[in-house]
Amino acid sequence: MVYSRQIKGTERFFGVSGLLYRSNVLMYDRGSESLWSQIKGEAVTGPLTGTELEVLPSTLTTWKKWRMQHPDTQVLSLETGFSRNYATDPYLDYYAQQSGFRSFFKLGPGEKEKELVVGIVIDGKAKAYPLKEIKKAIQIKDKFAGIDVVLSFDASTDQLSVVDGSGNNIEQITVYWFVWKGIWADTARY
Amino acid sequence: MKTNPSISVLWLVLLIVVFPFLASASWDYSKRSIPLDEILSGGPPRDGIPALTEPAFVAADRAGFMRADEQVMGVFLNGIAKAYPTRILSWHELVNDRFGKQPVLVSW
Repeated sequence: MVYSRQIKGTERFFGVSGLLYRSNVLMYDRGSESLWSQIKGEAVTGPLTGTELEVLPSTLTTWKKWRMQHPDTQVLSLETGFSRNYATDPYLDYYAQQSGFRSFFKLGPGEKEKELVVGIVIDGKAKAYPLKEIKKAIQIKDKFAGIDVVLSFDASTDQLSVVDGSGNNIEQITVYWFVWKGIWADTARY
Repeated sequence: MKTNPSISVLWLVLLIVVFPFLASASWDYSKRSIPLDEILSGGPPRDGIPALTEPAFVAADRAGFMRADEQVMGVFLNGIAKAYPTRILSWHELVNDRFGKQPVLVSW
């Protein structure tokens, strides 16, 4: 997830609190020390409670595909100022595991904790679409919370787009099913 | 290997009594929208996973350390394109960055 750090006119800097809320990382801003849900993009404790972060567009893709689209791209340097083994991703085992931390709900039939879903929220109502289904169909047309929802996936760029009937962008995130369900307990599912 | 029972008891005390206290000690929960008992320690302490601030970047044609098939988070904003390899993001979780005048938070 990528957010604006400009919050109500003030630039904020964020750190990792070390705390979790229903399997979700809680980050904090150094100015007000509020805790923010990383997935929901909303302050959940502290002076800024209830404040929402503005989502900015981002794509999860491969270096090759990204570079083809943006030949003049820069890439984050390994010289971060910290000594870490960047050759390996510390979460490789975690990605490979089937299970996640989900003591707070039961899986439905055919559901997997670690399957990736694309989540949207319209008028406070949440719905999740398994990423595999979108990739398979290339495009899914749905009706949810009274509006038309069109989800498309472009395999050449790994670009996922979610728009309404008039082509307006709908905010969406791709996360594990158990993470989404942890935030939106009464979410619908495609 | 046998475990000394007194050490186990000490760990139990740390786990049940001390760690939750440490986890909650530094935060102001007087205003909140979620139940306190659902905020758990994820293991590392505050800033135990260090967020990046003012990160350095490398031009694509100088990025010999990148593998073609490796995963990146790509952001294109204000005419600027940046790629964040997820193998780096996993060690820091947050990057406090900037696209021109726009302050940006990349979270993973």
